[in-house]
Amino acid sequence: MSPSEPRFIWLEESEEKGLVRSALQGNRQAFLALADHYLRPVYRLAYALTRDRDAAAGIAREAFGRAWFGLQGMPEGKRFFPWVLHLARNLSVAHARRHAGEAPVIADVAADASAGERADVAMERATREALRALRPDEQTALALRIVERLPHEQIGALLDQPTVIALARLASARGYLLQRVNSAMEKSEGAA
Amino acid sequence: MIHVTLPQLCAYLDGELAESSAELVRRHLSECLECIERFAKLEAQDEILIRILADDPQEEFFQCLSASIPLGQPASAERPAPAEREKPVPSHAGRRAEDKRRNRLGPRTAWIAAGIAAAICCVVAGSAAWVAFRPAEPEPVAPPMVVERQNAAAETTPPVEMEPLREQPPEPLAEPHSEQPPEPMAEPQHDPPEHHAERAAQNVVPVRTVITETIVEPEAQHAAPVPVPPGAPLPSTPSDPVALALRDAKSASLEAAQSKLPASFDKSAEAWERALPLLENSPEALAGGRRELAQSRFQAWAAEPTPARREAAIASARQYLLYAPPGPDRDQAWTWLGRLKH
Repeated sequence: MSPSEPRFIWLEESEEKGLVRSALQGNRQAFLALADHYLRPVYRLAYALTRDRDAAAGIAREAFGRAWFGLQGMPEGKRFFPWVLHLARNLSVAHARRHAGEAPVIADVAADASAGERADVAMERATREALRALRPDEQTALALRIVERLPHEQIGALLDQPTVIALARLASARGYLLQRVNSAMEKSEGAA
Repeated sequence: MIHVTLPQLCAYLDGELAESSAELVRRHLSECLECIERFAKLEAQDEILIRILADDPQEEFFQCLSASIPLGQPASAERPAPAEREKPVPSHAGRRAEDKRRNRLGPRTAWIAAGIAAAICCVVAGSAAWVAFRPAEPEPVAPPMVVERQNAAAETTPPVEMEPLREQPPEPLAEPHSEQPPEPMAEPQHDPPEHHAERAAQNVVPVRTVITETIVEPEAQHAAPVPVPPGAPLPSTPSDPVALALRDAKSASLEAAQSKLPASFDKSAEAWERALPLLENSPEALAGGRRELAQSRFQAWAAEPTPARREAAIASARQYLLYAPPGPDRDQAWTWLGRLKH
C-alpha cells in the first residue's frame, strides 16, 4: 500500500448488506465479521480524537456494542461503517468533554536534548493544545485525512457533507492549527 | 500578486486538485516565497499530526478488542416493521441498557424541575424582600400603606422588573451570531446525549474575537443615547496608539451600524484598515480586526453594490478567512464570500 492510499477498504456493499441482514436476525458471527473489518478504522478515529489508547479501545468497544444492540435503529439504506463511525465519534466527543480540563500527556524533554529536539517537543505540545480547540467535525475530518488518508470525497461522505465542506473543514482546521502553533512558538522563543 | 488560498494549498497538499489547477499552484509556488513557506509549514504540520493522531497497535490488540465487544443476546430476530420498531422488546442486556438510559434521563428531568421550582421561589422571595426592605423613597408617601400594597402585589404577581430602569445598551455592531447551521449528519436516533454534548462543544468558540466582545460589552461606555462620532475624543483618551486606533475603528463601526449608510461602512472599513497594522502583536485582536474589516466591507457592498466594493470585500473576507479560528464567525465569513462571488 502506498503512503497516499487509504488505509482501510470498504466492504462490498452487497456483502455488507448481507452481513447486516444476518446480524439483524441474531447472527453474531455476521456482526463479528462486520466488526472485525471496521474495528481498526473505528479505533484509529477514536484514538485520533482522544489521543488515549485505553479510552480509544473502550470507545471502539462501546461503539460496536451499541451498534449490536441498536442495529434495528440503523437508518435504512445507510452503510454500516459511517453509522458506527458516527457512534464512535459521538462517544469520543463526550469523552473529550469529560476530560477537557486535563493537561495532555507529553513526554518531558531530556536534559541533554539539543535545541532542535526541544523545538520539536515544544511544537508537538503546542499542536496538541491547539487540537483540543478544534471543533469535532474539524477534528474528525483531520483524522480521516491524516490517519486514514481518505480522499476529500470519502471524508465528505462519511461526515454526510458535500466534498467542498470537507475541504473547508480541513483547511480551516489546518489554518487554525498553523496560526496557534506559530503564535505559541513565537511566545516560547520570546520567553527564552 | 494574488496568492494561493489556504483551501487550494490544502487540496494541493492532499493531491486533490485537477492537473491543470495543480500546475497553476506549482507555478505560483515556484515564484512566491510567502506561499512556498506556508506550504512547507503545512507539510511539516501534517508530519507532526501523524505522530500525534496515529496509533497502530499490534494485531493481538485488535483481536483482544474484538473478543471483548459486549455482544449479549441479540436485540431482536428480525428487523421489525416501523410501528413495532418504536417499542422493541429488548433482551436482558438490552433491558439493562434501557434501564440505565431511563435512570440517566430520570434524575436529569427531576433536576430540571427542581431547578425551575428553585428559581421561581428565589424570584418570588427576592422580590418580596426587595420590596419590604428597600430604602425609603425620597418622596414622602405614606410608607406603611405603600409597603402593604406592594407586598400584596408581590404575593399575587411577582414584579417583572426588579432593577431600576437602565438605558438600553447600544445596538451591537457585530451581526448577531446565528445558531450553528443544522448539522446535516444524520444522528443515530438512540444517541442524543452525545449529540447534545457535541452541539454544545461546537457552540463554544475556541478563540473569540476580542474586538467584537469589547464593542458589545461596555454598556457604561456607550450609555449615552447619542453615539460617539468616530474622530471625537473620548472622555478618557488613552495615550496608547493601539487603543486609540481601536477606539476610532469601533466608533466608526458603531456609527455605520446605526446609520447603515454605505459611506459609513466604507469609513468604518478604512478605520479598521488603519488599526490592523497596530494589532500585529496580538493575534486574537488581529483576527477580530480582520473580521470587523471584512464585515464592514461586506456591509458596504450589501448597502450599495459596486465592483470596487465587491473586490475590496472579497479581498478582506479572504484575508480574514486565511487565519480565522474556526467558529460561527468564520462560517459567517464563508457566507459573505459566497454571496460576494455570486
